[in-house]
Amino acid sequence: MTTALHPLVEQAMALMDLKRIDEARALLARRLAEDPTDIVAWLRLARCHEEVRDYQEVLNATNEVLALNPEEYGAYLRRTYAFRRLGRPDESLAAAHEMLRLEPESWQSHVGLSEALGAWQPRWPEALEAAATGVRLGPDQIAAHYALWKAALMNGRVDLQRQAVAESLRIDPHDAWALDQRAKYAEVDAARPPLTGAGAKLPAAAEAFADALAAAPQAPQADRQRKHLDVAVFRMLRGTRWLALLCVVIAALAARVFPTGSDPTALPGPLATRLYGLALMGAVWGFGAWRRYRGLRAGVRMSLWSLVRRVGWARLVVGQSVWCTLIAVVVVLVPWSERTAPQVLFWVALVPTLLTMWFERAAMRS
Amino acid sequence: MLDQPTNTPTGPGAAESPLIASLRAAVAAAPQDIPLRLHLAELLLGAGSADAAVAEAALVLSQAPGDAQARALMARAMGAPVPTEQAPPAAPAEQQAGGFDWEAAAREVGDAVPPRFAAEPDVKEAPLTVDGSGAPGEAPAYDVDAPDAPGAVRLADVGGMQEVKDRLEAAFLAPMRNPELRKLYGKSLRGGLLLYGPPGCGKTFIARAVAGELGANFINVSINDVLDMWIGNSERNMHEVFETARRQAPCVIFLDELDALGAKRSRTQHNGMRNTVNQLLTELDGVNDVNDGVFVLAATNVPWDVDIALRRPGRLDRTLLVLPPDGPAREAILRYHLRERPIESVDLAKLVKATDGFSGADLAHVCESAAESALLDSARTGTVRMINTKDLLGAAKAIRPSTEPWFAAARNVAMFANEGGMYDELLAYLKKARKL
Repeated sequence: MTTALHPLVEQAMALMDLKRIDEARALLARRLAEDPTDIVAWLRLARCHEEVRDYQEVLNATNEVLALNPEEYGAYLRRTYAFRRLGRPDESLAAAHEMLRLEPESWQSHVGLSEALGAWQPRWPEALEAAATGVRLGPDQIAAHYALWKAALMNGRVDLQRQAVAESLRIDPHDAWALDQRAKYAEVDAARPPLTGAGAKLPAAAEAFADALAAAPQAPQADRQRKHLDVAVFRMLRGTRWLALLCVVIAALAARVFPTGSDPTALPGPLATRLYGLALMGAVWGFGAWRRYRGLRAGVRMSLWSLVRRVGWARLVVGQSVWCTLIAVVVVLVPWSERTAPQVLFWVALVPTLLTMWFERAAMRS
Repeated sequence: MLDQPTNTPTGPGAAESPLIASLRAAVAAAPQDIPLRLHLAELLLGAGSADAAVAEAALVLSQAPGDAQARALMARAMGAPVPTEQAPPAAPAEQQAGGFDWEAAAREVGDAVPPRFAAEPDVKEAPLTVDGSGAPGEAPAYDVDAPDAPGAVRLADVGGMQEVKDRLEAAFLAPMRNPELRKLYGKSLRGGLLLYGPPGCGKTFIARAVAGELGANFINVSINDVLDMWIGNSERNMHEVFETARRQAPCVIFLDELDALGAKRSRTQHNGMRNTVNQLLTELDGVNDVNDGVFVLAATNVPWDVDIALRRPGRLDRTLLVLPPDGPAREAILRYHLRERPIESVDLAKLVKATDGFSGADLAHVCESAAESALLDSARTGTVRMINTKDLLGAAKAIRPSTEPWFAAARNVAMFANEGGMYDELLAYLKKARKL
C-alpha cells in the first residue's frame, strides 16, 4: 500500500486544478498500472470520475481504496456523493456516518452528512443543521457555505441562502457560483416592487449578471446569464417609453393642446411656458435615462446596443420612445394656432405606445 | 465503408482471371494492405480494366494521398503519363533532350485531365506550412532550435493574415530589427508578446515564424515541460529555461499554453503551480538587463485564465489577437490540404467564401470530409471521380466552425472584463464581425 505522493499523481493533481480531467485520468491510470496499491492515485482517480459525473467509476475506484485500507476517510467522502447521485440514499448515509466516525471534527464530514440527509424530505431540517455545523467548522470553505445554501434552499430559508452567497463572495469575490446566485437575487429584487424602485434596481441586476459572466465566461450557465442580462437590459429599454410619454404629456400641457386652464382659447401658448416645458423634457431624459446610462458599466451599455441590433422588438421599443419624444418636441416648439393638429399628434404618440405596452404585459402574463 | 472492397467496381463485362479474382479476395481480407491493392490495380490495368484499376488506385490514394506509385498508376489508368502537378516547373534542358518530354505530355493530356482548380491565381503564394494543426512546435524541452535549422519558418511562410503580420511588425519586429531607432526613441526591449485567439488558428506557427524572422534561436516550453516543473524543482527548472535562452541570445522563448504555465494563482490549490508562476514573474522581470536579447512569446486560448500579474508592463505587456484565417490564408491552407488529393476544377474562391470563420483545423476537416464523400460515391457507383467543388462546399456546409464556442466566451470577456483595454482588439473585431 502506497500513500506517498508520486510525481505522476502530483502532475495529475495539477492538471485537475486546470480542469484537464482527461489528461489527469491518463496520468493516474499510468501510475496505477505501475503501482496498483497507490491509494492517493486511486482517490484522485475517483475525484476525476466525479468531475465527469461517472459515479459508478467513483465507486469502483473507491472499492479499490477500501480493499487496501478500510479506514480511508477520502474514500467514504467520495462514496457519500457518488451513492447520492446514483440514487442510493441509504448507502450514501452509511458512508457519511463512516466519515463522521473517522473524522468527527472535519467540516467535510458534516457537509457530506447534510448532502446524504437531503435524500429524505422529513430530514431536511437535520440536513440544514449538519450544514450549519460544517460552516462552523470550516468558515472559510466555500463548499461548506454552498452546502448551507443548498440545505437552506430545501428548507425555504431565503435569508440563509443569501447569507451563504455573501459569505462565499467574502472568501472569493470571483467565485462563479456565488456571483451567479447574487445575480439571480438582484434580478428578483428588481422584479419584486411592482411600481416603486423596480426600474431603479435593474442596473444592479444587469451589473450582477455582467460580473458573473466576467468571472466565468465559459461556464455552462453563461448562456443563461446572457439571456437574463438581455432581459434586464430590455426592461431598462422599455422604461424609456414612460419617459417619452411623460414628455408628450408635458408638451401637451405646455402647448395648451387641450382646452384647460384659466384661458383655454389662447393659442399659441406663451413661448416662455413652451420653453420651460422643453427644458423639463430635457431634464426628464437627462436624469431618467442619460445619467443612468452613463452610470452603467461599459459591457452593459454594449449589451444595450447589441440587444437593439439583434432583437426587433427592442428596436420597436426604442423607435416608440424616439417617436413620442419627437412628437413632444414638435408639439411644444410649433406655435399652433388651432388645436386639431397637436391633438392628433398627441394621440398618435400616446395610443399606439400604450397599446404596445399593454400587449407586452399581456404577452408576458400568458 | 472503406473496408468494403466488395463494392469496388470490376468494370463492365470484365472477365477476371483467376489471379485477379484471388487477389481481390486477398485485398478484401486485408483492405489496408496498400502494396497488395496496388498489385491488383496493376493487374487490372494490364488486363484492360482501366476503370477498375482507377478505382483501386483511388482507394489507395484515399489511404495514402502521397503514394507516388498509386498516383502514377492512376495517371496511367486515366491515360495520362503522370499527374500534371507532379511535373517540375522547368525541367533542365539536358533532361528534356534525353528523357521524357514533360511539357509535351502535359500539353497532350491537358484536355483529358481537368485542371485542379477552376481559377489559378496570377501569383502563387509561397508554399504554405500552416497546416492548421497548430502543433509544429515539437522541439523537446530546453532544446534550442537554431534559426538556420532545416524547416525554420519565416513570416512570409504564413499564408494571408496580413493584419497579424503588420501588428507583429509594428509591435515587435521593427523595434527588434532597428536598434538605432530603438535607442533614439528610448524603446525598451523588455517585455514580451502574448498571442491569443481561438484554438487551431496558427498561434504556435506564428511564434515560430517570429523567431525565424528575428534570426533568433527558439526554445519551446510546452505543457509537458510545465508538468515537469510542477514537481519539486519548478523554480530551478524555470530559471534554467531562461538561463539557456540568455546564453543563446538572441533567443525567443515560446511559452505555449500560458494558461497552464501562468494560471491564476488565486485559482489554484497547487503549490507547484503557484511557484512556477512566481518564478516566471521573477525571470521576466530580470535585473540589470540580463534579459537583453531574450524575447518572450506566449500563446493561449484562454487569456482570461492567465494570472493578471503576467500582463503587467515589462512582462507580457503586448497582446496580439490571432483570428481565424482570413480569405488569402484560407485559400493557402485549402491548397495545402488539397495538394495531394485527386481534385478537379475546384472553385477555391467560392470555397473560401463558404468557410469564413473556419480555423485551420476546420479547413483540414473540410478537405478530409470532401475526400471521404467522393471516395464513398466512387465506391458506391463503381465510377471513380475526383473531389469537386460540390463535395467541398457540402462538407463546409456540414461543419460548424469550431471557433464559435471560443467567440461566445470571448464576447463575455471582451464586454464585461475588459479592464485596461486588454481586449480592445477583440472587441473591435467582434463589433466588425457583428458578433457582439
